[in-house]
Amino acid sequence: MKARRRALLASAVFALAFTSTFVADVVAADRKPIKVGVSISLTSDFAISGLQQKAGIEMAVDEINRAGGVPGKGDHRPIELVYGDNAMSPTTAVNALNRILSADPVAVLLSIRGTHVLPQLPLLQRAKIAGLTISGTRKITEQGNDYVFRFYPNDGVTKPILTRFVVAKLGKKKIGVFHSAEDYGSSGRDEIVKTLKELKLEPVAVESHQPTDKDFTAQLQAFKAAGAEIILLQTFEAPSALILKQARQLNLGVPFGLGVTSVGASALKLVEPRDIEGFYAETGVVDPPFSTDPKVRAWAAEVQKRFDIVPDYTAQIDYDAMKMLAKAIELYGPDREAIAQGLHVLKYRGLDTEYQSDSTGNMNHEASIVQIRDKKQIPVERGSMPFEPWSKQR
Amino acid sequence: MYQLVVNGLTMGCIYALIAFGFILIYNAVGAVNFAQGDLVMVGSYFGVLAVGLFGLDPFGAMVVVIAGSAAAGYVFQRLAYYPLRDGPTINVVISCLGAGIFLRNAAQNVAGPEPYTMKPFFGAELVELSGLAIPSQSIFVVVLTVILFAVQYWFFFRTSLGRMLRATANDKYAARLAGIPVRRMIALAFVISSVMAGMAGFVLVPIFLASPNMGFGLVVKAWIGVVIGGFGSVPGAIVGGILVGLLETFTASLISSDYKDVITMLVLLAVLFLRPQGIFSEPVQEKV
Repeated sequence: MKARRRALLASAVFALAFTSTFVADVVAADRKPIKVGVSISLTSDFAISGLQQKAGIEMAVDEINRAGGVPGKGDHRPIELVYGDNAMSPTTAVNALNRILSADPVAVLLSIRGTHVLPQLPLLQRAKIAGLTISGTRKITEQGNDYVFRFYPNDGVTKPILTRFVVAKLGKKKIGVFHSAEDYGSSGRDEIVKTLKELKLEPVAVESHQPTDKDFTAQLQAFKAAGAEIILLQTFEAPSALILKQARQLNLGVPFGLGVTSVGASALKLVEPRDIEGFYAETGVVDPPFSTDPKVRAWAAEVQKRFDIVPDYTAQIDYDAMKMLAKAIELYGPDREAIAQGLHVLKYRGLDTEYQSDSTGNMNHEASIVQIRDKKQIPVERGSMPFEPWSKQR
Repeated sequence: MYQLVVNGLTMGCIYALIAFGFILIYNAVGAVNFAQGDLVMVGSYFGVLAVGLFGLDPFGAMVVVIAGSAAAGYVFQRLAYYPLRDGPTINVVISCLGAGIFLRNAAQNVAGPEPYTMKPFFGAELVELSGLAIPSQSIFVVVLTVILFAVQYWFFFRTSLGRMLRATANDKYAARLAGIPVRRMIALAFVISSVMAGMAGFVLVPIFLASPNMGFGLVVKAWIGVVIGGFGSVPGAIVGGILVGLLETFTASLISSDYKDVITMLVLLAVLFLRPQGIFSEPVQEKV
């Protein structure tokens, strides 16, 4: 009898231990961090924007994790970021994404550089994982890839708005186009030329430069010789600062219409006020410190306090992208395919932008014109492009 | 047209200063130092540090740049060349490439990826000359290049140390037999080439900004200048560098900015086909 009782007791203890271990395992699995990949430029010249992206993403993740993580079945789970450094090369970007995918993330935030995102697209498709980018290079979402989502308005939105503004509001008819000789620059050039054609105009001169070039005087003089009344510029931060300075030194006397990279916080740090004063620029969102919305300005101050960086549009939009991704994980679960499907149909209100996927994964359809006064962005007008929401029957 | 000459000449002088460093190292150790562009970057950061942090004027900062670059050149040769000096030349070339990558990443980690700018060295930013607006910094670059090359000429041809360096470059073994401290001469060659690169980097900052990767584009063009001018020839490096600067500027202005680099490369290929020894070098003779 005693032996039987002992056996029963032992069985009960064993069953209890097993059950508690099992329950603990289940709970632990529920609390296991959800991995999100981040494939951006953390080194090289491109780290100027990479560090902005990092600040925006980490700000969002900090907020999510401080609130207990992403709600789901069972419990809240924290987000864990898995970084890969694209540096300056598309090949490095592909290797970085491969390394990230081996850590089994549920989605990946991608670089602002179209040259990095384009070769990564087949990897996203193969892994059936959503890639969230803020690159403006138009053809990224024209590759028939259902796993790429663009949170920055593409050049097909921003360039027509800027070009039409320059022609209609500034009354310029002789327009020069100056671009960097790679995907980002040529994407902008194509959209400007296309819009000019719609307005029955031709550019008076189209010039390019290599991303590593330092001397732009020959191209600037070519614009002057062609009688350009304004030069629409699409290039990166450092070349942009040099171009504006050299234009002034040459007494060119031709104003610029600028792309967003020329007027972000990092670019404005490099120019003298007189090099850029009064010029107009396009941007997906007004840089957070210059926003008319006090909520956005407060957000910018918080980012600056936490990350010692003045956040620009990249930080703000990647913050929105990370928050929307967390929402998708909450609603559809931490499953790659479910998240990708969810991002196609989810509507999300970011800091000051509404995001919704069109038929090709473009999420943002608004752009602003700003004027630069004393190295500050002054909002002038905001426009949007009509879009067709995503549908399975494409 | 004159404006193009001024712009092309400024770039050409920078290429020439870097190209000179190539030749100096090549003649001393028989290897190409592809980190020469990164030593340009190091010099520019020393300048930014001296002006921005220590508040020195540009000429005071120049002393810091010369001292810093000399030290960087010495340490560079001790770490990237010296341990490999008895092995195949390719080992030294690879080691220099690796050291260049180290310098770039170190600069980025210490100073961040954002470029730095600096005011021109003289108060007036532009000098008006017969209707031409010439940046004062460009004039400074050209004048400084002339001075540096004049000093080099005096040093190499009028001082015993310079003669020892030339003797080492001509034949290390014979120089050693003649009692010349070859090892020190090689270290000195690295120091001089680093100072030339550093000075190029410093005077460039007000025109082109300082950034961790600034040397890459410059070193490629300087290398083309070396090949066009004649490998191993000092006058060739100067003329080749200046030719590349002028060629780029005139091509971009008169033909097409899209094909600027393509045409520079075509000229390089043409020189390699028609006069492989370059403009100044003698044709290579087989030793008997």
